[in-house]
Amino acid sequence: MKKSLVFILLLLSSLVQQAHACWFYPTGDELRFCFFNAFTDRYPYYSMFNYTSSYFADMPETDYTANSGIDPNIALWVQYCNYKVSAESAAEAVYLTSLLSEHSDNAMIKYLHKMKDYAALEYLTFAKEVEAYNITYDNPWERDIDIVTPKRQGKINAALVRARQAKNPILKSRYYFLAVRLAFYNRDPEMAKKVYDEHFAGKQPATIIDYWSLYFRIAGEKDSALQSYYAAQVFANAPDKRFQVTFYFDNKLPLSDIVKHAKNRQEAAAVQVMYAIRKADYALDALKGIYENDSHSEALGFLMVREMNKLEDWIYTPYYSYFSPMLRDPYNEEGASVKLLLERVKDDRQYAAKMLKFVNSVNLDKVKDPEVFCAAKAYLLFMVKDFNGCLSYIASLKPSAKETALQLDRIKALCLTANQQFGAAVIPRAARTVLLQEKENKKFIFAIGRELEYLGNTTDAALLYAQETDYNISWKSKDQRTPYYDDYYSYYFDYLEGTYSTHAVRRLINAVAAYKGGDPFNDWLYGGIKDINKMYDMLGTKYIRLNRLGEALAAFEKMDPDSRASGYLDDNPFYEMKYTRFCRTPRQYKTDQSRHYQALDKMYRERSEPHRKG
Amino acid sequence: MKNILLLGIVLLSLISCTQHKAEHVERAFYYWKNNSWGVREKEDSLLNNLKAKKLYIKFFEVEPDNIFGSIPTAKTNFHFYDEDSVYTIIPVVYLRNEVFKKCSRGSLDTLADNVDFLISKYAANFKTGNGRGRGIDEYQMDCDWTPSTKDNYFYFLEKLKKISGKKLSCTLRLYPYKYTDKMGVPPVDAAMLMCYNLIHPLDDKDKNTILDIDEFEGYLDTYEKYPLHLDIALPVYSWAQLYQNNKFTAILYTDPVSGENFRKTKGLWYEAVRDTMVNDIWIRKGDKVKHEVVTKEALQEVIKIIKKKIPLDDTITVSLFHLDGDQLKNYSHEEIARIYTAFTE
Repeated sequence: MKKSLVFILLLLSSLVQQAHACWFYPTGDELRFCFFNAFTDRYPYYSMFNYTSSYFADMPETDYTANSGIDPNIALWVQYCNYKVSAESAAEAVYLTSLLSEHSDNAMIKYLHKMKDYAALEYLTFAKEVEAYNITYDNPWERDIDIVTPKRQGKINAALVRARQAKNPILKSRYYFLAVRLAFYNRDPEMAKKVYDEHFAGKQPATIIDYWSLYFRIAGEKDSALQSYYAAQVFANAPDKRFQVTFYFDNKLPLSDIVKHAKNRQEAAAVQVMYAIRKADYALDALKGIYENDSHSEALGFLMVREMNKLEDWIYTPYYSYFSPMLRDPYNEEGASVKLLLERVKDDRQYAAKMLKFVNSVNLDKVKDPEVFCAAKAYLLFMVKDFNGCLSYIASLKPSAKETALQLDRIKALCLTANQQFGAAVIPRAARTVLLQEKENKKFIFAIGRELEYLGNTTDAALLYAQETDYNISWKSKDQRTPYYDDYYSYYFDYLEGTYSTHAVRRLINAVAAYKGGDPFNDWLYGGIKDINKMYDMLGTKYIRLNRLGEALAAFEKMDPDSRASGYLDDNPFYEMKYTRFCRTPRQYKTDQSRHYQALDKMYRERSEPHRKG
Repeated sequence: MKNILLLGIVLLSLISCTQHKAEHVERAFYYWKNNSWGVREKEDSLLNNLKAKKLYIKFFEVEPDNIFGSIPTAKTNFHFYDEDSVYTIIPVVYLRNEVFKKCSRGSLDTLADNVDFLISKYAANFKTGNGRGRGIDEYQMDCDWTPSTKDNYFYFLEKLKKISGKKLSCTLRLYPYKYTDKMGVPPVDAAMLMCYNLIHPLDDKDKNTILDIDEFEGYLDTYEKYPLHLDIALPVYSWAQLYQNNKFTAILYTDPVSGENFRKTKGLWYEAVRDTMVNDIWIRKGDKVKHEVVTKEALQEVIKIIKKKIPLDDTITVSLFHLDGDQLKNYSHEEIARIYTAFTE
């Protein structure tokens, strides 16, 4: 009997897990709490490495050839033309189709004709001619092997001949680059490696052509530490290859094995950047290394933002939602207790303290993005719960950039709210402006609500939760239970029904009923709860559950008579079942709860009378 | 002396009247559509009625490509799953003559390997009894080679035969049939003599370019037996060439002239008497159509000439181009059966 009971329990528990698996369940970025995002636009060429639950951020790779002003290849051509042509005309001549005629209107082509630089024109013609070969094709013969076209081999040979014959070293180098790239697409990494090593290796100063060539040479490198070192250099210097080159970096190797190939401190920092980019966990040591080797690195600012995004996910996703941080698969966390979640948050707050120590040690004059470090420091102070330190540090700052000010405002609003005594917490006046300004940032509004709820102000918390009615935020109660099918909430009303006491609901109703309007902030705040009848309905229902039928009746009586037939508990439980609407409620079963509970109350009173007992 | 002369005349006339009839004809069809998933019901019924058990199915075409050298195009989607059937499937590959221009022996080796690979891959979509489970044992290559591409094409055929280990046949136009000295004899096991499309569709305004009997007969005036086993392919299709403002604009595979929208002008020509829509093409009043049809009488005439002029082996395959229910509705089953039986009579 015991064995069969255990078996049944195991079977049921496995069914529960399967039920989750085939039902919608929030995961990934939709759960993540992320407030440190005002600086994201500063790093467009790192956008695909933004912190995310996906393998890479779902951001289109930034095409910097679309902006000729910052395209390093175009800059080289403008330089080649002695700065006599605009970047736009150079981009048009290089990237668009046949514009090479003497009669072309393009300024760069006209210039080359005027200078009788037929070698450059020939190069451009050849480069456009081989463009169609610079792609990996599916094998049209449907073979699993990659297609190698003999025609491409002919173009490689032609590029090498032209390179040897070219007198201009810039064109020579470009022809060798074409050969390396064609060899790469021809699945001939050895050839790509050979041409690169003979004509590009160690060349100084290196241009974008050298780094592009290095990219196409990497596949032929068998030493994975050296391959990772090359990948890091391409990552640092050829932004358009960043995404692709990531796959050549082996982050399982000891960092020192890769760093030993670096010829200077910038190269060592580049390796550490690549290492940190590939790390989903603590990257503080790499950040320290980058700062020591190349404090002005642009990537350091980006990685600082990324590390803050990790930390806020680790700390605030569980703290505000009782869900695990998004990088931990929630299906594997079924058994994770709140205690364990909060213990992890403690660990992560300790990591925040270490980050804070590092940020404190940074000389802001030496870094490229001091404001990112300032905002990060304020946030870290909040994370380690040094609220007063956080507020006084923010007060000491004079942010010049709009995004810094926005970031600090958010942190300040959270900090002011959290920095109150239990039972005396209100929405701080200084936070009101930020809330109005950020009213579309629903998770931020929710977080402020959560802070208030933790400090006992359930009324303002509910008013803030009610601002989100589109089910875009999911959260759990501390006991990880709900009265519904799911173990989480995504609608304020359900949450109040599942967790609020009758006292808390009554306070909320009183506040809503008492509010007469006039103040823009409060108009917005109270605007979330539009139907007080539903609140009375909930209150009455809660009283029924407590067997306090008189108070239930009183609550139902407060409802507008017209709203009584539309209450959420009107439905006959034998006919209206959530999720399985397989039969219709017969008309005769439709009731209104006031009449129903009047009868119930009467019966209850009669049975409770002493002389009727027994 | 007089008697000897008389005997000689009788013998000569006997020889000239010799009929090379076949003892046995294997009934076959070409299947040339790319986008069809399988045989339609009426086509299946036709095959059953005619007891035609051999299908020459075009698997793909090969054309030159700037990047890859040569690529397969117009790949078939055809599937045939009936392990109880006794159909014999012969994959056919049409190769554009340009494929064999300016190519190296190495690239021809690769091409042969690729062709064998892709045929084998698509062959997996055909589950038939295929001669009781023998699988596919013959490939047929279709190419209108020229003297300049002859060597490359023949090299490719040799290579393909070696790689595949299959019986290899090829299509044979009447020109290379007649001029073997110039066009060579392909290194294959058998050839399919294509007794149609002798004239470029746009070259002759008066003749039926699908099948012109005089033109056809002229190509058979050869006194040497072709050194390969010959099978015969005959046309059972019709088309109409549309000319708008006296300029060729389209080929129509449905019969546009049977209704009242066209009037016959001269020979094969018709003129639209009112605006009409055919195959999603807007034909305006005054547009001209050359309607080319292969009649059953013309086919019987052609067979008579073939039997007279081509020494046929005892067993031959006669394949009709092509299996298309819409086109074949112009013939009764008996008329089509007569095409096969006429070779043995």
